[in-house]
Amino acid sequence: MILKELPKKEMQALLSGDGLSFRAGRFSVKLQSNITSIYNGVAHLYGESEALFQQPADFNVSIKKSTGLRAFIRPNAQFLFNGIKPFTPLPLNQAFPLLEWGLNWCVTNHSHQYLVIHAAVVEKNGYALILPGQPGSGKSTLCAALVERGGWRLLSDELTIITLNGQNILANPRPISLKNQSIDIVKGISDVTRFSPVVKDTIKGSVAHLQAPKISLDNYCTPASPCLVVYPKYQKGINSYIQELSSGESFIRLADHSFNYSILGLEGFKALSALHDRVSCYEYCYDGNLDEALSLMDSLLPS
Amino acid sequence: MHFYQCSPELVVFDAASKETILLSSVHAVILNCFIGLESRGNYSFDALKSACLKKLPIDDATFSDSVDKLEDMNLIELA
Repeated sequence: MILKELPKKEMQALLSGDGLSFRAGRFSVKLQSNITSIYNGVAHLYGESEALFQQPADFNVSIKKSTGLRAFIRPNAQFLFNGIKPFTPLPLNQAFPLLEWGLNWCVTNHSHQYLVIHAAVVEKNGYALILPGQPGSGKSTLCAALVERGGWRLLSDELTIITLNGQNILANPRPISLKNQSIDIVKGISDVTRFSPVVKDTIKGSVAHLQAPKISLDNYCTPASPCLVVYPKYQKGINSYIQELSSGESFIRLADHSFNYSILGLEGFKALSALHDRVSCYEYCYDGNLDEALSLMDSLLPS
Repeated sequence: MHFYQCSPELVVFDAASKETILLSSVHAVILNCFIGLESRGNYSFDALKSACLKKLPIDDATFSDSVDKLEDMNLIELA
């Protein structure tokens, strides 16, 4: 059963009661919340995700609305993981982005059986294209375009999960997080009904989420083989160019982008070494022309 | 120390400090020559320089700086 098949009242009762369990990417989550925007966000963005019953979840989380006077004066939302509060509360209207950021935190802090890198990753013909990038680099916009227009499968828009033998990239398809100008850009190439409402004035600016495509959710168990690492860099008004990057330079950059490379130590080094035996690395400066970007990414794939 | 050879560069991982360092092609050649000399028990600066010059053109200052860096990293030790 998928979440959207669950009657509204039952879903609300689970959320505000013992918890609603569902698949979020490749992980299972048990979520408790008494916040309406959490119900709406989960029902909308995770509607195609599998509802899970009677099995332990990978992550037990809750998003609680503030109580007492703070329920009325500037109410806020608190993320809890196994009852622990890893973050300071955020304004109540940011509850759903807080859930998404919290789930990212769960993965990066509790998945040391993998090497986890801050990068979008998509797949075509079995080959994975990894897109690491700093905030504002255009990584999520390019990822969304590849998925929505380019025929690539979303593995993740935020966390690249690599097996420690460096041979496989695991899928973790969850809603694509978009910020500021990229929201309207991606709305121009996607079905707008698949977007969450825009949440303004977060620490990242305006934020909206786009449902992961159903084909990505259905194939979350299918890994991809590492093939390309492309470091996108959006620069308005420049002439787009791509240049090959040495494996060594890419190695150091990916280590810097990793959440748990230093925790894994030698295992992390070996994983990145094995990965770099398999990939070609590029730096891609682009001016936002997505059609050109999509053609270029396709041309980098092995024929 | 653990190495990832991505010619012409070299990535070095220090398991003790968990530091990862990218060595340039010059450093990689010097290290490679040092390993060759070490197997013959010759640790002199001059022997290393002579061996390196056969593999790449390098000026004195760059060579000395590169050797200093490798010594600082405890990757080589000259007599």
